[in-house]
Amino acid sequence: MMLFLSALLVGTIVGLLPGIGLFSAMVLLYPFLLPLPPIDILIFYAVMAGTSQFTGSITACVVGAAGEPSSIPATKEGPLLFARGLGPLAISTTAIGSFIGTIIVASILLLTIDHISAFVGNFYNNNIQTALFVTVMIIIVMAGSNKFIVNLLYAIIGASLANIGLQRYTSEPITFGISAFSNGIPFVALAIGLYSLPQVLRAFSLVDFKLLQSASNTTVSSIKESLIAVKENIAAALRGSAIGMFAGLVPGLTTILASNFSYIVEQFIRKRKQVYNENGDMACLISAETANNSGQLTSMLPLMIFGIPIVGSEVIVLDLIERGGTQVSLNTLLAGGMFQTVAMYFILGGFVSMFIAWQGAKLLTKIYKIPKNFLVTFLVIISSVSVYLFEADSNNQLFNCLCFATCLGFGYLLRKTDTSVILFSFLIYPFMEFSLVRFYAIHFS
Amino acid sequence: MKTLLLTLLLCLVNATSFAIDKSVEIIVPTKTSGTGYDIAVELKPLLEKRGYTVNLVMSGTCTKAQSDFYSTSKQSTLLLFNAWSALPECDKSIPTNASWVANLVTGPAMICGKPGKDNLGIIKRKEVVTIASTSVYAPSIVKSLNPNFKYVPYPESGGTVRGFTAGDTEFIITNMIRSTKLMKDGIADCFVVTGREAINGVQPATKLFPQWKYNLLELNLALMQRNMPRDISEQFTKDIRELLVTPEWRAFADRNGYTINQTMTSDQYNNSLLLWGRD
Repeated sequence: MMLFLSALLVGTIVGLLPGIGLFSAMVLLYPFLLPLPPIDILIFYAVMAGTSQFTGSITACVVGAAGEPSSIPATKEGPLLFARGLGPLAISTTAIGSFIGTIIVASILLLTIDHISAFVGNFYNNNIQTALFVTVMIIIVMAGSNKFIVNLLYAIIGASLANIGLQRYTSEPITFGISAFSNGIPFVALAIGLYSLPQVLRAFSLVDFKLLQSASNTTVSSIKESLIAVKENIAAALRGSAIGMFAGLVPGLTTILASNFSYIVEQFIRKRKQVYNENGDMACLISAETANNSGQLTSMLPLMIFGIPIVGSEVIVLDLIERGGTQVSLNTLLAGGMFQTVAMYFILGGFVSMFIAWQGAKLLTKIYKIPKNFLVTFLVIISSVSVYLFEADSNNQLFNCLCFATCLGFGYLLRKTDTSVILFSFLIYPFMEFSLVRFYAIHFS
Repeated sequence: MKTLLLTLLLCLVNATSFAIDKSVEIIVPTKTSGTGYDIAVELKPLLEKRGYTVNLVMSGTCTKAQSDFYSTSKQSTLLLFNAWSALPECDKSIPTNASWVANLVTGPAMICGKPGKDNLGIIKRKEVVTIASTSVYAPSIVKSLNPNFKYVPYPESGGTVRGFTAGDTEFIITNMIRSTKLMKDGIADCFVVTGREAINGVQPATKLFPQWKYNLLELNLALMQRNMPRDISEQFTKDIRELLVTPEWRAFADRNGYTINQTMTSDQYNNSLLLWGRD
């Protein structure tokens, strides 16, 4: 019980405070988790990670600051919905949507766990991976909010930026002779500087700030009101769950791809139907937030089945488990119903987190009582701190801040366009290139 | 009284000047995952137990780590991988007798194929087959065993395992920890290990492939230091070598399929780089 509550508490903090990721949290808690048996470590991690996805949406929606990169869609839609007086409803509906995603994916996995190993194994077949990344890249270019030619240009810019510092097998990485570039451009600096912060500042400049302040006086929306909103957007939630479930398996991207890709798909669908609301779209927000919750559990599958971590924080989970003498494999996962227990706690954690997010939003909306100029300054400071703290042990803080300042300048210049295409292309390009290189090596060399 | 105070003051000054500065920076050429990270987080608490203040710098790449190492004014150590020191962009981190601290762990490579197949025969017959590998094992290394290997590159060892399991390739070359897991799960038949000794029933490459240029290939992970005065450097080296024979370090090595060769010299380490020579 204490373990479950601790995981909820840590997950809440990780989600609410931009800059603290799951990895940093696991590093800080390492000595405390070390004596625990494998099942407890997995429960702790699953509940903490799940909760952080719930509470991360609040900070993103309320103040437009992304606690995790997976909350980037919420930084765009959230403040706009708040400005329309729909903030509390957005938070509660998103929380319920996220819980739906949690239940759907956990149920599917619980029902199919005996057969899931073959599926997860085959998912990493290079032919499937190549098709997946090429399709995602095409959808990003086709479905972005800008004109096709601008999307294409942005995708090329994103891919070019991703090439800096990219470690290949045949040639030295492009660094322009500056060693800091050997790690590439820091994603957090690019994401916050080029996209999140300029978008939020633009939203603040467009909306009536007095309306935002009046939103802070509203109470949390009722269960009935929220359930009606969920019912209206159930198709978006189901689409988000499905996309999130598969995207969560993509190494290195997991929930980031889950939320951002489902957001783009939902935006595309709604624009085709001419129902997308430029002033904050609830369906897109729900789809993205549902996707990251369903992606969170599937992202743990390769770790639990093959003992292969696919994100940094899972490396620490694996280390903690193996240090205790347990070799992680499908057999250990199925023995004694280990997976079933983890999945049940994940659902329980999701249920409690739904209420934490609901009530937590009420407190955070008070932030709009702060005068606009102070709030903007606060946002810039919080964003700068996030960038500064990103990979703080890499000796790269000054470089990260310089990248952030540069990206912010470009983000401001391009603020009237959808720069998220650059971000997605930046994220996807290395995976696409490597899978294409392997495709060529396997079939044509 | 004055004499007593003066004596006390002198003692204090002496004690301060003779106290060893036990702060040390460990510069790691990987991000917060992978072998380098594992080694660094294992090493840190063991050094702290010996009174050191340790700051880990996760530089991310060997080029950045080299740059951090040679630009810092702090007492600093660099985690070396012999496989990387052989790369042209990382060839500045070659230890000398003076900068050498110790070799921390050594690990061989294993080659595995699909269970139930004549994997050894396939390679000896030099059939056209695919092999999954990370950039650590360059194409020249695997192709010198079988020129008809189709080299399929992955960014990290976890990727090679995922690709091999999903049916991308027929063979995989990887480290002990990955191959042991593949064998235990019945996913792979690991049939050759680099070196002179059989490990877990797997035959050594010197016996199966005596003509293979890289049959003694081993990954060495070592430490070199900079900015340490001689007395501190000597004490640090002594502490590290003592640490390598502790039960904690042995348990870590066993868990990850490494062996420990704490007596390795800088010359022996530098000779091991030749094995990783690239085209």
